[in-house]
Amino acid sequence: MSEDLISKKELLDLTGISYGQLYRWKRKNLIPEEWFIRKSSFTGQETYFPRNQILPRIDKILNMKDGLSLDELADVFSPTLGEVQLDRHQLIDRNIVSESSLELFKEAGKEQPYYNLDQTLLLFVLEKLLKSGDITREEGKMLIGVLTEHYHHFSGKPCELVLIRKMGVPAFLLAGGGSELYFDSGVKVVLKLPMGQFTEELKLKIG
Amino acid sequence: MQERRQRNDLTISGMSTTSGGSYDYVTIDGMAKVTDSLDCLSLEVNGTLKMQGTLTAAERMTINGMGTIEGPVRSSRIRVDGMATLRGDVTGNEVEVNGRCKIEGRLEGERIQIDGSVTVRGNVECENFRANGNLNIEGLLNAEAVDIQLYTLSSVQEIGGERIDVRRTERGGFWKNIGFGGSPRLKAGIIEGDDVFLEDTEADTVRGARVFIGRGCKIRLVEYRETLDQDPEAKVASRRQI
Repeated sequence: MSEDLISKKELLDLTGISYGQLYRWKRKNLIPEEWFIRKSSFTGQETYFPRNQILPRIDKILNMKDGLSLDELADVFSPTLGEVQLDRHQLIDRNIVSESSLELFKEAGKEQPYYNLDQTLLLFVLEKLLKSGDITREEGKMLIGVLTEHYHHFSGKPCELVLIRKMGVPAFLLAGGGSELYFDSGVKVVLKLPMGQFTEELKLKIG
Repeated sequence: MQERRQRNDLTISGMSTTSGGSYDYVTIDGMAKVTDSLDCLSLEVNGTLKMQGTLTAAERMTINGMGTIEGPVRSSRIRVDGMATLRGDVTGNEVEVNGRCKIEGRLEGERIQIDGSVTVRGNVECENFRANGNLNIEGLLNAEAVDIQLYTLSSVQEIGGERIDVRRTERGGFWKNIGFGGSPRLKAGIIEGDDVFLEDTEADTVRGARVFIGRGCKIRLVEYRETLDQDPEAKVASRRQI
């Protein structure tokens, strides 16, 4: 899977932002350092970005920046979550999770009176993936497993959630941000999503 | 009732080794070795300091003598008038270097003013960067506004920001005659900004919205969005409007 890259020049053209803005956002950590991929070409050194991450990010910055200061925005985009405790009614009221996802959570034996942010994130991911029809309920349980067991290894660092299926047998994996994965030809990659995308959305819902 | 101070001051006048710790005001007039981290309100070094750990100086850190700090440095005002070697990352609000400073990590701040000489291994990030001295930055210099007055041969791997301004300093006969520090020049790989004004600069690629390439420049490629003006004394190998 070679990542789809966009050059800096193309990015500025496409989004209409200036060099000043781009460098300012980098300084404020709105755009993480590992998205700046340097490559040498015959026209000199060029900087590239992962297309499917940078474009939505810039879109979000441009749409939200009127309401929030750059520093507040940086908090939204940072992969770490703050402290929060929510009970099941709050989760449902705020549209983070539906009854049926909570039910599945209960079946997996993870039900709690209060959910901290990591667990809320887990529920939120589960809800989103179930709703989009990308995963089945059975796979949802596997998702709960992999995230409870391993998500904390990435404490604050970017990582990606990957679901693959081979011959109808699903498997979840968490991979460090920016790592490349290759599979044999019988494997279908059902989804490969940066977890950061979920934390951002969740923070906006909670915040 | 006056609030009781929780922390003591530390003054070293002779030669001494301390393990660091937590203090209000730390003054070093002699020679001191600090074997661990130091957390204080302010640190002033007039003599020599060798330190192993992390330095956190909430209000300010001033080095008038010599200082070597192995760990990261964090302070709201950092001022180096003497010589400092900082082996970790340096974070400060205001950073001022009048002497010589070598930083092996990255340098972050709001306002950075260099009147002496500074070498940075990593990236430099701040809002306002002004230099009237000698620069050697091996990483990216990223600032809202970059103002560099050239005195000697300086080099910066990459410069990015909104406004970048590099100017030649007219200097008197004396310094010119002895050729102190080499002729004033800036060597850079890539320079990218919205408003770019360059003099005496040697760069591989310059990209910007409004670009002025002044006297003494030697640029391989200029890519501009809106305008490109060029001094007849400047050399630009190729140019492209994008």
